[in-house]
Amino acid sequence: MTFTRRKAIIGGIVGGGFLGVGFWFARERDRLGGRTLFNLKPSEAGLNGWVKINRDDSVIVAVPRAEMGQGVQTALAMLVAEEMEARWDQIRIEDPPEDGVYRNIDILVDGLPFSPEEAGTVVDVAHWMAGKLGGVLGVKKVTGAATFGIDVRLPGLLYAAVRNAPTFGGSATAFNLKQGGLPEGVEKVVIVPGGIAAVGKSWWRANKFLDEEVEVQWHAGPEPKLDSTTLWERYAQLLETGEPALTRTSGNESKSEKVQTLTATYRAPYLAHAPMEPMNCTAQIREHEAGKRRLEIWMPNQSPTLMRLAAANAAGLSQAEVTVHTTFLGGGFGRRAEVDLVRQAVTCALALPGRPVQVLWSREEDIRHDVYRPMALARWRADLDTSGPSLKLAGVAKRQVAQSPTDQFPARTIGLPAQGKPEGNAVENPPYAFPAYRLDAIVADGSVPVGFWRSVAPSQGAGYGGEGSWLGHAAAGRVGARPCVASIVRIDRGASLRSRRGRRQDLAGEARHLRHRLRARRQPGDRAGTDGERHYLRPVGRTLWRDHPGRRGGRAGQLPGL
Amino acid sequence: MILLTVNGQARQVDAEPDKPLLWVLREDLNVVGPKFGCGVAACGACTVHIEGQPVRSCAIAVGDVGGKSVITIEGLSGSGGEGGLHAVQRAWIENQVPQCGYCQPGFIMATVALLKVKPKPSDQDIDDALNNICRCGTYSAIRRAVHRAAAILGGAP
Repeated sequence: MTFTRRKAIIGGIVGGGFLGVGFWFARERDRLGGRTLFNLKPSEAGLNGWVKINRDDSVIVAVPRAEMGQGVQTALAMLVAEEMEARWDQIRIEDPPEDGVYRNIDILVDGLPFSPEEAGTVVDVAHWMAGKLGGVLGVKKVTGAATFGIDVRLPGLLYAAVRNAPTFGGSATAFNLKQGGLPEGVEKVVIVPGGIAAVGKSWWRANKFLDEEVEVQWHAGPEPKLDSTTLWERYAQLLETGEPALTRTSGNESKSEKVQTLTATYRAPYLAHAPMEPMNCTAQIREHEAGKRRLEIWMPNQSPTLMRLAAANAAGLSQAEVTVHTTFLGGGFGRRAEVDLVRQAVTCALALPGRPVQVLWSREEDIRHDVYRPMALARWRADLDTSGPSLKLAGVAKRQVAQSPTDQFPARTIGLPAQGKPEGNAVENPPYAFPAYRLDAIVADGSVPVGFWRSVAPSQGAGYGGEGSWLGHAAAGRVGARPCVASIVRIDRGASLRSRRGRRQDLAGEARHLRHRLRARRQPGDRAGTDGERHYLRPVGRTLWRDHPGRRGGRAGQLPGL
Repeated sequence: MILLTVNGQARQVDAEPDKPLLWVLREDLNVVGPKFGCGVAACGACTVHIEGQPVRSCAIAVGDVGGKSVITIEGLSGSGGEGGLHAVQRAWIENQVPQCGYCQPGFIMATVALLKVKPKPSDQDIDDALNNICRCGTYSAIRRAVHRAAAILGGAP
């Protein structure tokens, strides 16, 4: 038998030898966790909180991340397999216990549910490897055996349908049963945070009951008359006169006097996340000994730590008395980092002690009561230096108005005061190496709840109405007889567009969005995703050519010759 | 009492006749492969076969299914186990189609039905027949997998 690296490590740890100890001391200060942390069984030895090895030579990997289609269980397991030179069939995954080392630090530091830096080579390699190895979830997800939150089944399970307050920030104050009592199959009506729930043996029956038999008195939210027209007017005014909450500049502005300016205004509407699996959460509160209660949560969620905190607060328990089971997520996109469902589920569970209650929203409730991607209004300006033989992009400036999820999220989930700051990441990291860049970010107030969206900042707020579309738009234009495309496209790490009409492109050197577009064009007829960028990323009105007022603007969202 | 056959087994259901089949499957019979997505027959996540026809089970009353045979994703691969997967499920795994996976039971059931009537579907046939919704955007992978499933059913290894 060959002496493998795994055997050396397991021998070292189990036998108390130097290898495991040395490994451990070297890493103690970072986020690996103790080697007994990862629910060790007698046949297992832990390397740290993330990896343990069984005597049968299998390697067990901790995956404390929500699986919602990004393949995180497969990807993390593959990384460990590669590092440990293990065969794919030796690898297993397990949920680790709740511990600080598994927490996503980003969400605590700047409120982002996950890193936006996931584009490019790493993603491509992961796809390639998954193709070679087969995802660890493949079979479950094609046989109906994967348990999503909505599929949780427990003895004595009750289902709760919900109607949320018709105005944002509103609540139910009282209700009246039109038939005078509860029909068979409905056990209780419960006022929950933000709405009202009917709990019974059938969700379908409870949902119908809410529609047909319950009259609710609502307490209106702060802006009960809000409408889109008023909001756009408010934003248009803020775009002209609002005080930027943040101004960011980079690079040096052109000193040339021969600069022509190109501007366009973009607007993006509120969008609902609409994950395929409607919002749900199951909660059960039990007295395990006299006067001592435990709360269990089963939930497709993107932040078990936050769910546990919100559940403990809602139930008046300590966090140690709450267990959160994270199921598969039928889509997350940032919506499932929110705590509204867990609060409603715990409220129902408290009203029916001992019984597990599965709160489920209808699709209509989901669309009406999302934490939306913020609507945004942004004006872009490109300065083109005309002094040389070819046009040169001298600088880009953007002034934008939007609400800030970074502001709202900590306020509504853990009660932190709003900081009045715009969405952070896109502000700090414009995706292109513009020669000069200026951002003026104005943060709008408002009662419409806004939340994170799957690529976080680059697709909303500062990023939205965004760089990619603007560059494509600007590149499609002309100044005089000269096309802008080359000067615009060359800004990114020397990428070149060799032929305006040709399709030969040097993908490796090009900006991310251009690579993306090129790929998209190579699969003609592919349906677009449902994010709505295709429909909404259009400039409002015409591009304004200050020096050539008669000229039509470029074609929005298209690059010529691709 | 309503009698129906689900995945080959005779089942008795004590439910209101206007209760949608989807909720009878999920709540009364503990068959949770068909998913609730919209409740208005728009997304297709709840697709099952009734007498071999693909049907969106959220929009058909169980009273109308009495005496009929219902097949869900759970019943597709027969007894299951190693090698017990349906050709469409195999093609789905080979092409790594699922992302979050929530809509896939509906897509797979719709694909099985499509390939029965069109063993060699064109891209257009696929787009027309599979008008289900996938929020992750797996449509192009689904199309590849449908062609692959057609090939497997046609005798390809």
